[in-house]
Amino acid sequence: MSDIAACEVSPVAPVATHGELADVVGMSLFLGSGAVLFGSLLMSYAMLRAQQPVWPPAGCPPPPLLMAAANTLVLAVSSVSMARAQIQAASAIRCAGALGATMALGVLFLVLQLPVWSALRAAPQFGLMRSVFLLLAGCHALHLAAGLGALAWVLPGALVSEPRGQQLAARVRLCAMFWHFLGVAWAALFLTVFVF
Amino acid sequence: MHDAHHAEPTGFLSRVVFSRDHKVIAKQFLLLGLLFLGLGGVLALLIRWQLAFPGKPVPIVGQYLFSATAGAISPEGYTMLFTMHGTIMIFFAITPMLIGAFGNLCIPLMIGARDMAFPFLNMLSFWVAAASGVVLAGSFFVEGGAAMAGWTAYPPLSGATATPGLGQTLWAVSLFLGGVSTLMGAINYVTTILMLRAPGMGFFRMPLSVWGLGLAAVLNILFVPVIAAALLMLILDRVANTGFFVSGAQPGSAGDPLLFQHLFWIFGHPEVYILILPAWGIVSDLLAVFSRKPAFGFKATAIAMSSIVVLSTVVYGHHMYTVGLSPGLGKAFMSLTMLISIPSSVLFLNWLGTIWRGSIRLEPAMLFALGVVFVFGMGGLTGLFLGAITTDIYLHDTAFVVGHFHYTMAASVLFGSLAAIYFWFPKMFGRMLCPELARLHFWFTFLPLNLVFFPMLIEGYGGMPRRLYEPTSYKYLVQFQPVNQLITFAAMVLGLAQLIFVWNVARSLWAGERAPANPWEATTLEWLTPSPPPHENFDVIPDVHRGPHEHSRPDVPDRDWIGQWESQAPETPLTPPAPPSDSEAVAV
Amino acid sequence: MSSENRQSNVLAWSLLVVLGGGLLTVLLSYSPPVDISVEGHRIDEAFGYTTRLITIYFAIVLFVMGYCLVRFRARPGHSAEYIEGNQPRHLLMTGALAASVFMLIDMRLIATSAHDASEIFWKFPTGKDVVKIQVLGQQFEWHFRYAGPDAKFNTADDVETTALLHVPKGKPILMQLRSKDVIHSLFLPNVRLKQDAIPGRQTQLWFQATAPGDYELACAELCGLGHYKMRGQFIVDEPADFEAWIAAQLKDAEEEYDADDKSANWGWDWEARN
Repeated sequence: MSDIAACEVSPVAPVATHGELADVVGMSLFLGSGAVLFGSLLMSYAMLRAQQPVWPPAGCPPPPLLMAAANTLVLAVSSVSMARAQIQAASAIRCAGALGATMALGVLFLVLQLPVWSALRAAPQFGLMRSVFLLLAGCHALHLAAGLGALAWVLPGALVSEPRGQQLAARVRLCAMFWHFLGVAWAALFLTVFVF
Repeated sequence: MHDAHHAEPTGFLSRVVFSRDHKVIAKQFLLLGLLFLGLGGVLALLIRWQLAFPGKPVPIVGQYLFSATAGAISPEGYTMLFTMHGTIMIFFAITPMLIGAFGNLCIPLMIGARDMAFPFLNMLSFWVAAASGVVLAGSFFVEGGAAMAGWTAYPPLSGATATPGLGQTLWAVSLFLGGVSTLMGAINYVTTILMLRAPGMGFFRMPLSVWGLGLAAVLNILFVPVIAAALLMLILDRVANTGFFVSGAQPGSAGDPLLFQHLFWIFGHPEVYILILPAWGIVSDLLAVFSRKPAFGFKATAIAMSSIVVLSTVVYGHHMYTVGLSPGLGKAFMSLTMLISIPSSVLFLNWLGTIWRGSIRLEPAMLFALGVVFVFGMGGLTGLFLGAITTDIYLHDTAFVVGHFHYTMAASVLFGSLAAIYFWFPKMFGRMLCPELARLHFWFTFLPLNLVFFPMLIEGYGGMPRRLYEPTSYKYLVQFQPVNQLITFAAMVLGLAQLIFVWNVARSLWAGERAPANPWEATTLEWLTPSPPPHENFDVIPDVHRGPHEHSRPDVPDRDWIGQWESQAPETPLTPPAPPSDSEAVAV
Repeated sequence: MSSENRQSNVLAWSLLVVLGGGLLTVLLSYSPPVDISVEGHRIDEAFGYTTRLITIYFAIVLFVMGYCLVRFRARPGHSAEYIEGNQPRHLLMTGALAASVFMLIDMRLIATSAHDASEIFWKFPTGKDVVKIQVLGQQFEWHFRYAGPDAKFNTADDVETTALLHVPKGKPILMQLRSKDVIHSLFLPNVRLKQDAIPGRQTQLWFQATAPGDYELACAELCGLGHYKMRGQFIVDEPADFEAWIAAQLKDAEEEYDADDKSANWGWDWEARN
């Protein structure tokens, strides 16, 4: 988990104060436990899947790989834009632009989830596939919505005068850590559920 | 967020209710924990009544609680009682008391910080815990009543088919919320310990209480998400008809009930250590203070505790010896489990080493700390039988297990909490408790407690399954009815004895003697600041010059302690020595 | 400490010791149900020697604790000795004592238990004389199924009982367990064994009985509100009596058999597995 944190603390906006460092430590611990959460869910998925004679279970449509790949691409681009926001934290306007782009891509991701979900509605009631998607993708989507909420809280701050420079950078850094974590979590989910 | 000084808030709401001050939050958690401890205790007494006198109306309260059955406890009522007793005691009594209250109180004060790293998160942590407590307590009143699948809630029994009704769902939701609260607290504790130690406070100068609380927080961060995952799936199974834990009667269909057991115990076993680690730390500190000696083998104790943390993550399989594990897996889990006895022995030896050649003051907090050594010894040693595959096959799911985990989790952790209360109450509330009443409380808790839990070991060895509504429905168990009645009477005495404690606390809050800054002549940082500590704890953050238990140093003249904050031994004592407590003369 | 105080202390402690000792004697007079299996003594023995060893160790701990509390009590003229306990000799002593606990108690328990688990209790018998029984847990009854003369399960000549288990003395009994609804756990106190029955899985249990008689079997895992009622009769017969019992049951069984009744024919094809 600390490795996630380490690669996210960009050299562009170095941690300035002890308090900001504490924020980074706290966020890292939080992401560590988030990693355990997604890890537990993926482990459960693996355990259930390993007990099935065939996968996907009989009568289930195969997971919509292309749709999910589009999702992945959108989220990857949003991570890039998040990184840009972090690099340009010195300029409130540019930073806000990048944050806005990240948010837009995040919303787009959630919208693109809908066809994936509806593709699975055909699965039988007690179908394992349906359960797995409800759980993994649902959990991820909720976290992503929370991330969007955090961005919506930081973004106006970048435009209005209040948090300038260092403070804005600190906030964006925390948001970026969370956002990139969600990207990694989705990548793990995509690989285990859709690709393999 | 981290400015050096904040003005003290003045409004009632921000000072008392939605306070971000760790000392206030500690009191809130203590109150929450004690309330639920009382509720859980009442449930326990009702369970005991049914076991001793199956089907007989409960005296006094029965007519109000079980009016539909003329005061007698029904199977539904009984199942609800033990499910809720376990859940409440573990997650809503012990956890808030030890981790919530004393984690909050001790960590910032003992490491010399003004508050937690994230005071707002800290406040949120309490209120989420309170909300989850309300959800759980409220589940008694929904249609169909509270949860009825045991505190372990194994599916499919806890699924929607076997246990319909809102109560079981609320149980899962409440535990999930409790997990969220615990996680917020844990992140706060670890960050605070990592980032906010006073200058000079190295890790090996931290009191062992902080070690215990910190290690427990690390385990919480790692394993609360696992139970959260299990609860999520359980909730979805119940409300959204998913099938994670649902399986047909024939092999190979859909979900797997054992998946829940794996997740539950991956969390559940560390949870035992999450609760006991703070108690170990507190006991190690208290034995040192009241023996007027450094904690024997301080580093060894800290390392032993850390190694138990590591081991606790890989032994959970010993809860599942009867599910049909492969022999290889069973043996691996058994060997790893047994390894825990090495660091545990180190703890015991160091505790004995601490009191050896000390100058032992039997203050109430010390009595309870010594009580932990006894009851944890009982709990730890009886654990051997359950860690070994073959003896566990026989004892699994019997009253032996109940006796064992009550010795470890209930007795040890409860005594740890009471020791902590008697020790830090003066610091928390600025008042002294009455030591005579406290001693009475100790003996009337310690003796009946053993009369409650030791006979359970005997019953379990006699083959009595746990969670039986009517033990007399088995012929071979009828002979244990006198034992069941003995346990029940002892439990009643134990319950009544807690009124001594309640009275002592109430009396002290109302009219207790004012506490000096350092009533126990202890050496850790919380005793530097006045009792109760001011807003933001310290006028000036102290420099730390030495380890946490510097008692009876030969190079310190005139007194048998020197504070962590003192650069050198003062000519005259900083605080006037406490009057020699007359308690020492009449003790025991 | 005044002499009156001392006297009342001595009185209180003596009372405590006498009462506690008496209670302990009564409690320890209880013993587990009689062991009627070939291998159950292994569990009793493991329990016995572990109990003896931990009692000795715990007694030492309590003795040292009591000694300290009396000998090193705070009093005028007595002061504590400054010992940090971080010297190599301290660590060596602590390490040696901890290692002795591990080697004397744990290692022995691990060795016996590992052997008994993988070589005895979880090593399932094969061979002609093995009596095979299928067990189905259901809220709140245990069902047992015997293959009958054709040695095949789920056929017309199966013998099925509810809450009643008959086994012959002197033959290995091998059971396969499944569950219809929730998790149950078949507990046979007299043979010291229990085994969960889990929906969607199949588990196994084996033992060999030594003494004919009428015993009880239980459900050990909470399975719902009727959990406490899920008891059964566990009867060990002489082999001849067992054959006679099966023969008597067969008459009813063939009459009652209905191939279309799926829930009555809950048996399955027996597959040996280990």
